[in-house]
Amino acid sequence: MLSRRSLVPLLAAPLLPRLAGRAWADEAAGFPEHSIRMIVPYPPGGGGDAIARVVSPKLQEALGQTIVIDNRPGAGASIGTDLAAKAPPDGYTILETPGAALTVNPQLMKVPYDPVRDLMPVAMLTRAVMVFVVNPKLPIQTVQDLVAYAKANPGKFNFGSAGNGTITQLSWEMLKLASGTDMVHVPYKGSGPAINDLMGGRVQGVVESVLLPYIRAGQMRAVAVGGDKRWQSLPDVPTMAEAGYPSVRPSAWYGVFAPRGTPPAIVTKLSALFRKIVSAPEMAEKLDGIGMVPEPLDSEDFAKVIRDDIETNGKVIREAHITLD
Amino acid sequence: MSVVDNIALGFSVAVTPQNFLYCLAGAFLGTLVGVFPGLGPVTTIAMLLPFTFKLPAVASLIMLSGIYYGAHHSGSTTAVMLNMPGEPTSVVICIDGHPMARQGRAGPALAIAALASFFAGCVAVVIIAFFSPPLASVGLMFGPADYASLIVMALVTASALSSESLITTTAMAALGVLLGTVGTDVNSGTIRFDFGRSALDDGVSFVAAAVGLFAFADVITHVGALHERVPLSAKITGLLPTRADLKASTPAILRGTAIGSAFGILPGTGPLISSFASYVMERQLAKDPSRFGKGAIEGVAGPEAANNAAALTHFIPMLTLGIPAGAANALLMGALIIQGIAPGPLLIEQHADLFWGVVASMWIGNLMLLVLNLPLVGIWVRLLAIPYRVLYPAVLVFCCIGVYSVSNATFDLYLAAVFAFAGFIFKQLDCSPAPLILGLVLGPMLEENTRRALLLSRGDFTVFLTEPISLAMLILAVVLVFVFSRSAFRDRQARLANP
Repeated sequence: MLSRRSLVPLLAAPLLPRLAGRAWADEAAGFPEHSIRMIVPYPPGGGGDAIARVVSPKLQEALGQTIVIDNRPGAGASIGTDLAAKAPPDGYTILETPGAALTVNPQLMKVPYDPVRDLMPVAMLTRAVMVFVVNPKLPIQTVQDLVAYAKANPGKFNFGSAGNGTITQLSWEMLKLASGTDMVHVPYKGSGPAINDLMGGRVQGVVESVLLPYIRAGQMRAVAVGGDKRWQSLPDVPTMAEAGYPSVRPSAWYGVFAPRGTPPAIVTKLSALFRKIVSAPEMAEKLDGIGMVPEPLDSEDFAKVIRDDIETNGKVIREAHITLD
Repeated sequence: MSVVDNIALGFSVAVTPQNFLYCLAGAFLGTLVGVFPGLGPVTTIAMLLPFTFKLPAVASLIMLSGIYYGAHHSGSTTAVMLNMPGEPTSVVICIDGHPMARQGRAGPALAIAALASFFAGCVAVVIIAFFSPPLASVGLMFGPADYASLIVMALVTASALSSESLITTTAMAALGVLLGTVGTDVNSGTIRFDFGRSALDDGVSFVAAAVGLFAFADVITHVGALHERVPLSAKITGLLPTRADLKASTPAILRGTAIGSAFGILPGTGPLISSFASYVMERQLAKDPSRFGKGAIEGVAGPEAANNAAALTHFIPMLTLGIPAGAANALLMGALIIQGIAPGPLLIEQHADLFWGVVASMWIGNLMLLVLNLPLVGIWVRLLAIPYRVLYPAVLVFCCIGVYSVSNATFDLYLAAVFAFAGFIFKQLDCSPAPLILGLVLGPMLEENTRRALLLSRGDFTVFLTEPISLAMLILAVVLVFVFSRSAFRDRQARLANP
C-alpha cells in the first residue's frame, strides 16, 4: 500500500506536462482513478477523526474509489497539516481538520506551512456548538450571574480548557475580555480531565461542544452557547449575543482542504460531494449528539470564514496576551 | 432493576451469536496484534478501530473492549518471551518474566500470567457490575495535588524495583523524569528540548524508548555474546506451573488483584502504578528478596493480576462519567461517538444494554483469553527453541513495525536506535531500565499535576499538605523511603556477611 502510494506520483510525473495543457473539465472527468488519502492530523478517535470516519464511506460510495484515512497526529496538528500542505496537488491527498490548525496555531507557534498560501479550502463540513457551562453548585444561572460572580470574586474563578492556545481557551478569553472580568485559565491535556475537575468542583467553568449528556444529567449548568443561533438540543439556553456579549463568537469548525495548486475542477467536484454528504438529514441527527451542526460551505465562502477567524482569533490572542512561551 | 436483573440482561446481550463472535474476534485480534513488540492496547485499538465502525454500537464496543484486554494480555507475553514490554504496565513483567524464560521456565511464566489475568479479570468485572457509580465518585475526589503526591509515592517505590543500589535506581528514575520534560509544556504551551524536530513536540515516545532500552539492547547483548546457534532459552522444563509455583503465586495474585482494582479507577496513572506497586510489594514481602530479578514467579503473577484488574476497572470512569481514564479509553469513547452515542453520566441509564452487555462480555472475553492463551503457551515456548541468529532479525522487524505504527513516524525508529545504544550501555553498567521507563511515563504527569495544583492554589505550596488524600500519599512515601532503605541496608549487611 505504502509503495503504491509513493510510486503513483513518480509514475505520473512524466505525464504531467501533457496533462497541464488539457482543459480542467477533463481532469475532473477521469477523477479519481485510484484511492484518495484523507489526512487527519489527530489520532483515531481524536479531533476531527469522527467526522472523517462518518463522511468517508459516503464519499467512497459516490466516487467509487477507496478513501484511506491517514491519522498523522502530533505537534498540535501541525505534522499532519504540513504533510497535506506539501503533498502533490493532484486531488489524491486531502486534509480533514478542525479550524484551530489553520486559524489559531500559526498565530501562536512556528509552523512549517502557511495556512492560507499552502492550502486550498475545499468545503466546510460542520460547526461545533460551543456551550459555556459552570459547576451547578455555584449560584450562577445566567451569563449575567457568571459575570457578577467573577467580579465579586476577582481571581477566584477558574476556567478549565483543553490546552493552551486551544479554541476552548480562546472562547473563554473572549468572554473575559468582553466582560472585563478576572478569571484564571487552567489548561488541561484535552477536555476529559477538565470536565473531571469541573464536576469535582476544582474549576468553575468550561466551554466545550460535547457536554450535552452532562448538562442533561444535571452535573453541569449551561449558561450560554457561542455562535449566532440557539442550538436545537438546548433551546432554552441563550446565545452569547442574546446575553449581551455579541463579541463572544467562538468559531470551531471542521473542514476539508487540498494542497494549493490542486486543479480547480477537482476541488469543485469534491466540494460539491462533501456538501451533499453533510446536508443529508441523517447526518444532522448523527452530529447533534456530539454537539455539531452541519454547515456546508463551498470553497469561496469557506475561505471567507477562515480569513475572518484568523482575524478574530488573532485579536483575542493579542488582547488576552496568549503566548506559548 | 436489581443488579442481578442487569447482569442477566448483560449476558442476554453478550451471548447472542453475533456479539459472542465479535467478543471472540476482538480478544483474538487483540492477542494477535498485541503480540507485536511495541504494539500495546492503544496502538492496537487505533489500528483496528476502523473495522468496527460498520457494526452496531454494542457489538462495536464489545469487540473493541476485546481488542483492548486481548492486547493488554499479550503485552506480557512479549515481555516474558523477548524482554519487550508492549506498554508501560508490562515493563515490570520483564523483570522476572524474561529471566524465567531464559531458564527454560517460559511455560510456567506464561501460564501463570494467563491464570492471574483471568482471576483478576473476574474480580474486576464483579467490581464494575456492583460498584461502578460509587467508585466513579471516588475518582472525582482526586484533584491535581492528590495526583502529584500519588506519583511522588510511585516514584519512591520505583527505587525498590530491583536489587541494585537505591542510588542507581533513583538515578535511573530521575533520568526518566528528565527525558519526560521533552515536548510541549502543558501549562504554557512552550515546546522544550525538541532540537527543532517537530516529531519531539509530543515528547519522547514511550514505545520507542521501551523497544530500544529493552528489546534492541537485548539483541545487541545476545548477538555480541557470540553464542552461535544457541537458542534463547535453556532446556525447557515443563509447560505448566508446578504445585510450588501455584502456591507461591496465589497470594501474589490476590494482592495484585486488590491493588489493581483499587488504583485502576484513577485516570491516567492507575494501571501503571498498580503493577509497579504490586511488584514492589511482593518483593518486600518475600522471605528472600534476592530471588527477584532472577525469575521469581510472584514477580510475574502479582503485577500481571494488578495490571489486568486495573485495565478493567479503568473502564469505570468512562462508562459511568464519560471521562476517558487513559488513551485507550479515549479511543473507545471516540468509537462510541462515531456510533452516535455520547458517553456521559447517563450512559448506564439510557443505554443499559450497552453497559451491561459490555460488562458481561468482559467476563466472557477473559474466559476466552484463558482458553486461547493456555494452548498458545506451547507454541510460544517452541518459538524460543529457534536459534537466536534466526530469531533476532524477525524480532527486530516486528519491533520496528510496532514503533513506527504508534504515530506513523519514521523519526521514532531513529529514536529507538538511540535508546538501543543507551540501553546497551546501561546493561554493561548493570543499571535496570525499568525505573527509567516509570520516570519517563510518570514524570510529565507529575509536572502537569504539580503545576496545576499550584495554579489552582495560586502558588500556595501547603496545598499538598492540606488536601487529605495528598497528605496521606506523602506520608506513605516517607514511610516507604524508611522501609526501603532499611531493607536495602539489611541486604547489604547480608551480602557483606556471606560474600
